[in-house]
Amino acid sequence: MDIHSEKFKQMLREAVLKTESPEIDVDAKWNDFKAKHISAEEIKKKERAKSNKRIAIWSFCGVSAIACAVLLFLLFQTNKHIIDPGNDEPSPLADTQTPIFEKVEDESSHILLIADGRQFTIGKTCHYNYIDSVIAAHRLTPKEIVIRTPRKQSARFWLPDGSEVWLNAESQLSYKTSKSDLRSVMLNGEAFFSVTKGKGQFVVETPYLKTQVFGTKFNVRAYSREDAHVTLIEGSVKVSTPDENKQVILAPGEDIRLSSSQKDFVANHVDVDNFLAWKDGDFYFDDEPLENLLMELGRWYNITVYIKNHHVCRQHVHFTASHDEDISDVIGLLNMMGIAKITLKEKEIIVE
Amino acid sequence: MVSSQASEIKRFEALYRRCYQRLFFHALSYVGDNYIAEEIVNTAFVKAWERFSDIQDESTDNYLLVIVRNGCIDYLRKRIHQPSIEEFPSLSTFHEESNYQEYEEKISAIENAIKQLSPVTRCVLYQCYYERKTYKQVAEEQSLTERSVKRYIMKALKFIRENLQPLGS
Repeated sequence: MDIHSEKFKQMLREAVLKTESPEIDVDAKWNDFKAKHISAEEIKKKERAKSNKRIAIWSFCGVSAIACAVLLFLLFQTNKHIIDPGNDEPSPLADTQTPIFEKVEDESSHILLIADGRQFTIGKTCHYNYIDSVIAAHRLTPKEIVIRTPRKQSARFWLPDGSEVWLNAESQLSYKTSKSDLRSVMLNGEAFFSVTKGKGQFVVETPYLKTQVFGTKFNVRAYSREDAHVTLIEGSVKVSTPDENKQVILAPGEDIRLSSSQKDFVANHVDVDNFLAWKDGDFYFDDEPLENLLMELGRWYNITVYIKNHHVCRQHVHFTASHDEDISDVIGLLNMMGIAKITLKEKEIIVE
Repeated sequence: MVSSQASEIKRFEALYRRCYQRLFFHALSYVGDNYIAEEIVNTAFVKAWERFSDIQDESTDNYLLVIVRNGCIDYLRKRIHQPSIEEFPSLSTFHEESNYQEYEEKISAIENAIKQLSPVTRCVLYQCYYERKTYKQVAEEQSLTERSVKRYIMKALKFIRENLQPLGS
């Protein structure tokens, strides 16, 4: 066969697609097909064109476990945030000379896979069994796998049980490789999970919150105590504080945060797409304090943020932009809102 | 009557299980959308089932392959608003070869070769051939140089070609 022919290229396309994709649950497909088209009733009914499509879509989703969405409220404190954890009312803007967000000098631009101490660089999008194949290729037998994203980069990969993870910038996800621990991960930062229906619960632990689900799609954001929330797409999820003192069950379309007193959960119905904009490479802030937006910008562009006008930063804004845009363009857009004057210097922005 | 239908269902089930994955990925490689691919394959099996008693078992897989391809052509035509088949040269070349078994053999051979490649090579192949990214895009995303990407592809193609030789051209 001529490897330069269109025919070969197309076959190669199909072949690599198959080898790098998860296996299909043909049992489920057959049972579905049999139920819909081979029962005596169905042979008579031919009017299923429309509902077939809907059912096909839902049953396909079932394979990837459309079960629950859970909102997790995670809090993540890093030493890069100048926030005093002792304060009741978080006030990071105590000193105008102290930035609310600091850039990192040693700017790592690589997404890392760490297997028992050994580091490997991986790409933004890893196809289905990439992690497994890296481990196999280097003949490793790690007890724990860690995926870490730097600023400015998000990553997407699969876990051993087939669940898919989108990890936002400056985040870290780790899991142990022993069979019994396969569906338990530790998260710092932000991630979106599409969890398969596997054996037992899938648990996401963060320093501040624990989520338990059976198979759902949900987003967990836990960069800071104030800005931590969980968004549920499908199904239901149980969210609790780490000690499991407080527990909440979320319904689809809900977003949950900790209240300002941090003693209770506050749930809201939301348009979930807004919370997932980061997955598609966009910034999206709808009716959120300007401050949160500025911190996110700091994270994505690795710049330090100085606030001179605190009052302005507490104002709520609606803002959207693409991650690909130049920081100067984004600042320009922000200035057009007329709420604050934002100046961009070398690697810092000043808000007044 | 009941028992012959039961055995017919069993035979169809065997066919379904044998062909489903191949047909799904075949469709997906053309249409690029999981839901559409699933619908095309499902429709093909529905049609195959409806005619199952009339058609010999041995050639139903060929029938399925043709139906799936037609489904893909219909979908692509609607999407790109082009009436002529010349837009999709690879589709038209395939019409000469509608033998499911032969197709299965050839593509399995390619898959087996791919499985022997290194993870990075497979990742690069996937991004270039399935996601149709440019060498530059792949290089950026995987933190490689464009030259390395090109080299990975060349080595992969060489390896695959060597592994296909025993089957003849």
